[in-house]
Amino acid sequence: MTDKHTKSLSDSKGTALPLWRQIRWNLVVYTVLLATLPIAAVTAITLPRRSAQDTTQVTGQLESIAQLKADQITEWLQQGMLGIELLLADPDRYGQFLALAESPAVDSNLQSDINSLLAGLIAAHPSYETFFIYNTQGEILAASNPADLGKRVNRKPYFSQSLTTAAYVQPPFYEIGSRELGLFITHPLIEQGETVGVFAASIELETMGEIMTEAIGGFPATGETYLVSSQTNYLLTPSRFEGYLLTQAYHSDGIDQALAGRNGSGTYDSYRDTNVIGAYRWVPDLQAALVAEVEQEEALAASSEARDANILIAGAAALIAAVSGFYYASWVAKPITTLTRASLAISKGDYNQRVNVTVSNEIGQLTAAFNTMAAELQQHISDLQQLNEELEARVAARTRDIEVASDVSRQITQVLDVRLLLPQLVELTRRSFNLYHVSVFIYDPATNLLHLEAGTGEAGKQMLEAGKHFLIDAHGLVPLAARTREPIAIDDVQTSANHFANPLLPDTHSETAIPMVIGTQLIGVLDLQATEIGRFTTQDIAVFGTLAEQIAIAVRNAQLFSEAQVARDEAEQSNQVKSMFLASMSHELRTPLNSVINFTQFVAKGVMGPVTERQEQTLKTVIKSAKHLLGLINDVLDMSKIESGTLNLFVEPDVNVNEIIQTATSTARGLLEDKPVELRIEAEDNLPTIVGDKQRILQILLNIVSNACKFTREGHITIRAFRQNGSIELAVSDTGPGIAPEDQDDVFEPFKQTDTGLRQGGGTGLGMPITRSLTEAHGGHIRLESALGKGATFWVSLPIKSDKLTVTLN
Amino acid sequence: MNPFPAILYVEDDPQSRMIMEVLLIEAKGLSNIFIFEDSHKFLENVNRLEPKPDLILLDIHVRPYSGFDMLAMLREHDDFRDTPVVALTASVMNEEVIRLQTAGFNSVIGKPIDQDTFYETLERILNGEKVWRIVN
Repeated sequence: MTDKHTKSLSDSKGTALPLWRQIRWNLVVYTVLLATLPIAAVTAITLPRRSAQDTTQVTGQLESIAQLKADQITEWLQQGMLGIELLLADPDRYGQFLALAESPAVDSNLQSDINSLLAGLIAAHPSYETFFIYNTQGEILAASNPADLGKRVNRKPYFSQSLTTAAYVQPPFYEIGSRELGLFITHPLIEQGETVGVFAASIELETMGEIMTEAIGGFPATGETYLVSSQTNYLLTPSRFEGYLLTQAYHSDGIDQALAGRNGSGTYDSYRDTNVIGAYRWVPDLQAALVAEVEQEEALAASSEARDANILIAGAAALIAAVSGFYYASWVAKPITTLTRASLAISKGDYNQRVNVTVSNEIGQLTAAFNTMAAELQQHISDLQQLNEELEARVAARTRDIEVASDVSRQITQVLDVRLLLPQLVELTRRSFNLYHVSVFIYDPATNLLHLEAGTGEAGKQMLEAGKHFLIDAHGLVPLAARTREPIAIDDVQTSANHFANPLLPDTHSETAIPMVIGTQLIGVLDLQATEIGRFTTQDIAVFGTLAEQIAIAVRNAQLFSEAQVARDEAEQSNQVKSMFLASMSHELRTPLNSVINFTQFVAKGVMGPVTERQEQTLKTVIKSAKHLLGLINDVLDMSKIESGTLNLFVEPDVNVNEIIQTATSTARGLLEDKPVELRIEAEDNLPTIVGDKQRILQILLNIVSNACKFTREGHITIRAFRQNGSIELAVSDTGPGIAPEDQDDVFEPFKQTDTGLRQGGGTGLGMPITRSLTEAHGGHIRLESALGKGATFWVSLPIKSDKLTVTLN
Repeated sequence: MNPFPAILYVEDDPQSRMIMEVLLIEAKGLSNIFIFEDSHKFLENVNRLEPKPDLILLDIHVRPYSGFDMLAMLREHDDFRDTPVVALTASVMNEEVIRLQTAGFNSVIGKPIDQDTFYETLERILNGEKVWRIVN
């Protein structure tokens, strides 16, 4: 008990040994946490606020920049419009343009005049790229650039808008095909309130780009403004950064929001996939998004510097706290760890542990209390141990004898050959009980002698060689115990008349002989000798009595086993002889019978000369009888094969059951020729083919059918066959005499026939047993339903494919 | 098929030999039929046969050499390595077939000989077919 207790304690606490270190480290960790947490908290609270403030500020800046740029763009467009208005304000010029637009046929003089006029105007107004005039059909009639002449603009986006009566700014768009960006301003040429042509100008776009790419104040590194067209999200103004083509779709939160018509600001990933703060707005005149952005990193550079400083301060504080905490913790933890160690030692069984009191605080008081507790614990434990040891010693002494006896018994029951077992047994008994000599005598009732079967030591060996034995009627302790069937003990051999000194065992002083008896049958005697006087107490004799009983059972078992073995060998041998005899006998019988059948057939078929019908009928009867005899011989041979386990099936994969039923039916018709018995066939057509031995399956059905034919005098016989799950069920019912319930088991037993069977059928009585064996060899089963006077039904169930069978030939 | 096949039959039972004589010579009128009653000098004699047998029928229970022994001798011999050899057996059941096939027989015919199918069976075997099903 004590042992187990301490063991379990040390096991569970053993892993927690560096507890004092844990305490110190816990204290260090808490100190560091205390030092760093406030700094971390302050940083955590102030930093986001600072950063939010900065963001708001930056956003405001960006919004004003966006506003500014938008205003600049609007102004620039208005200037473009105004310039056109001024150009057309000259009435002569306007009249010329009208004339050109109105005339159905082009006046080439007028056209060339206007062309040169327009070319001159372009040179004078660098903010425009081209001027041209087209009629309401979109035919260009005059142009500053001769290449434009004769082209048509009726598919341009501005065309339909330009035919109204107001000036129109076509938002910048990329020409299909050339992918060139164009921004057009159109002005209708109106005669008497009706538009007859259009004056159009394409604006030089560099200015727009300049407006947008002009650096943003305050953000020199990453700040930018740009325009994105709603037409396929192309950039309208070049990016400040390299590698971004104009004619490519760009997306970001800012671009997409603005193109959806919303103005606003926010922090998001820009078209360059960098984190930016941006302001954006929708510019309706340009049908474009205007975006002003700056990378967040640049915008918030100030607040991240502040954060870095805070982290540095927190780190320094943590380091100082860790060092000072370590020393403080060591000082605080020391007495606690000393106590903990002492407790652990006690829990492991070292009750001598005491702790020195060095401090006078609460820990000091705890230490004193601990020491007192440890002393008391030590005392209790040692008392308990002592008590336990005494108890265990007593129990051990009591149980030893029984354990030895049962150990010996266990060995006995495992060995069936007593001649091997007994020598070990007597030696084991002698050693276990510290005896001088142990021997076992076995009683032979045939001779009335008690033979020494095993004896210990040199004395035992010599006595065995000499063939020591007692007549049961002789004097002496062993024969006496055998006769009386009672154990006998002699405390001191020198004072006993029943002891004969054995020169081989000179030191014997006490002896006991214990009879080995099963029921009333004497098996032998167990003899024990000791060098001490009075060795065998009543208790000892009871223990040895149990042992003797076990030995008796083992000896008896061994005797029975060897008797059974002999009987089995004999039976096996005679069975083999029988099988061989039957096999050769049946061959000898069949050879002449085969000749009889073949010769008779020759004669019956007229091979040997003409036969009369009567002769032929007679010969056919001879053949029939001979074949029947052959069948009987085959039955005997089959049965001998079944009994010796040498019957093999010739398994085919596709046995046609319908065919077999047909064959059996025609045989049955032959058998029923002269009887008033109706044969009914109720077989399903197209039964599945089954795996099995065709010949044997036919034999199964024929046996049952011919049995039914044999026993049925009148009425009917029904052969049924149907598929059920994975089997084919065959049933043969008759209106014969039936079989009494007590005889039904015998039907399937070889060489047994019922009274009715003997009276009526003759035969060998082997048909049904063979049928059952064949059915079972196919993995099927057969059963009988019958009652006296009510006919009989034999049911045969054959699996369509049995796991037991493999096809013989492939 | 050769209308006059040469057939050798080894059988120690005189009645069985007579039956075969009736079946092949008397009833069928075949001329190249050799019948040995003894397996003792079997190999010596089988070499001298003229014409060489197209088909050999061996009774299984012949002594001193059984049908199995004689088959083994034949298969050792260049002239008879591919000649169809048929076992005749009175061991009724199909299970015997497994042993015969393993030994190297080409076909089997059961005893008593079924006179209704005998000639057809012989013809099938001479055409190279293997007949394993014994029908009684």
